[in-house]
Amino acid sequence: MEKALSLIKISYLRSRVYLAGHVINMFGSFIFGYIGVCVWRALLGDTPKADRMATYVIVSQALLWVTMFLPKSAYLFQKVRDGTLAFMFVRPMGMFLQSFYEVSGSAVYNFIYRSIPIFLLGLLFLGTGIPAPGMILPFFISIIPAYVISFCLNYFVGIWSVKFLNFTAAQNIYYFLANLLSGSLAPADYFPDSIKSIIAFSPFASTCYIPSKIFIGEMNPFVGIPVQSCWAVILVLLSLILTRSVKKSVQIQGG
Amino acid sequence: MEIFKTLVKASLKSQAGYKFNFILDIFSSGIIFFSDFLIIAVILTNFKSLGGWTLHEVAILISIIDSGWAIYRTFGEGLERMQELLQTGRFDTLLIRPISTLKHLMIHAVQFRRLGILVQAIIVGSWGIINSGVFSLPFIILYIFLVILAGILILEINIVLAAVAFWTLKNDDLLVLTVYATKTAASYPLNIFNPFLKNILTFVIPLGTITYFPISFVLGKTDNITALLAPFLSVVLMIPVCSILWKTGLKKYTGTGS
Repeated sequence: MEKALSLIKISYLRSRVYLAGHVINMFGSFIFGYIGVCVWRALLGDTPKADRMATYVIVSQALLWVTMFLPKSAYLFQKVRDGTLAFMFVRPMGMFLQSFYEVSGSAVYNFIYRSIPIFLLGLLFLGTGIPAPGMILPFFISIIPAYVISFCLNYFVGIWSVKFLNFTAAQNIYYFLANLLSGSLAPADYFPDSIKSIIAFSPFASTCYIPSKIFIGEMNPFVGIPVQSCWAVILVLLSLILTRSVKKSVQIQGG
Repeated sequence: MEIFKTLVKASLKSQAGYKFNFILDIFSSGIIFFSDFLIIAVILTNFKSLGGWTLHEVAILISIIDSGWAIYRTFGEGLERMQELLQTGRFDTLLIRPISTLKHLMIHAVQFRRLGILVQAIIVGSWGIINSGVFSLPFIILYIFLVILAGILILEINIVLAAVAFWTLKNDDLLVLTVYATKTAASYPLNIFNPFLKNILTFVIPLGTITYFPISFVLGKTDNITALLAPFLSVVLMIPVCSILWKTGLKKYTGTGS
């Protein structure tokens, strides 16, 4: 546990070096949220539904920093290029856990310095709502599997880069699916009837749609969180299997 | 021109070295932007219009800005890497080359894989043009002009940001706020935003002048001729801003790194 905490701390402190730049970046991210709010207000007019969607969009935008905007390829591509991947194999902790803790430090940083400020800006300037008291705890619980799922999806991109020594295409395909299916701007409810249920219960929706829906009180946490947890378990197991298989074909560059 | 051809050939050779990756990169760079269009398409299939604009009309706006972005990213990769060049000291090497630093930045790494964005943007735009009832030769000519002007305007904005890096040595986060966010905003009808953002997109980072204003005029949403002239005015007015900032920044530049 001590090793895990120290990996998280190092990654957190490394992210914190660029705090000033990240504050500017956070405002940029807030503008993206604001654009989404304007879109939904223009579509729904001055209605309670528009207020709920404004909250949904801002919460989603804030959550993206602990889900979709995690370090690309879970830092693995960078390590393939500079050769430091070799060190991951000689440490007592496995490659999956090392990556997990390292990315977790960055996610904790993002949550404190980007997710919370974006939500507060929404609260102050866009009139976004707060959850019902009974939904606060379920919402925070739902962020944990959302993060684990996102980490695993990013880790798959990293595994691809270890195998093929390039990650751009895998990253783009991941971004395409996550952007479209996570529901950050277009929730699954608005997709055609034939696919909306599939999308709502996909791993991508578990990263954003389910927590945001729990936040605005439009999803039962006893339905949403078990779905997320199932995906988290499946993807962690898949990550471990892929890690074992890719170890056999690893090539170290740099030096 | 010879230098340009040589550098373009070198870029193509280096990128096409791994053919499978190259083709996959072209395809995948386009689908990211396509996902943004699909999202708005999904939403607008549930509603009649967005601020009085149909999905087909919004598709034209998205297409112009994405095509311009594709042109810029194909030729402007060097500007995107300005921060890295300054921080590592590699910008110094550009100062001793036989062509101007700005020209060199624009052609030293032509990114052919960004052409995937251009292809998807033109497909989206063609679909929007055909279905919104504006398909005609004059409109196609205007559309091509707007795409080119969008590329030039985005390039100009990025030159300003690259010049800022001469003082700050870091501009990647500023890019998110000033280019990525405004580019996304300019993909939508500006009338859905509050006056503050609308004015920023018109007078400060004038990406809205390339999309919303001229297309509003063509679609009969405004009869103010200035709307049609706005893209040309923006591009022309940005030239002295870029030139002064770049030259001043270059004079101020002192090497860093090792």
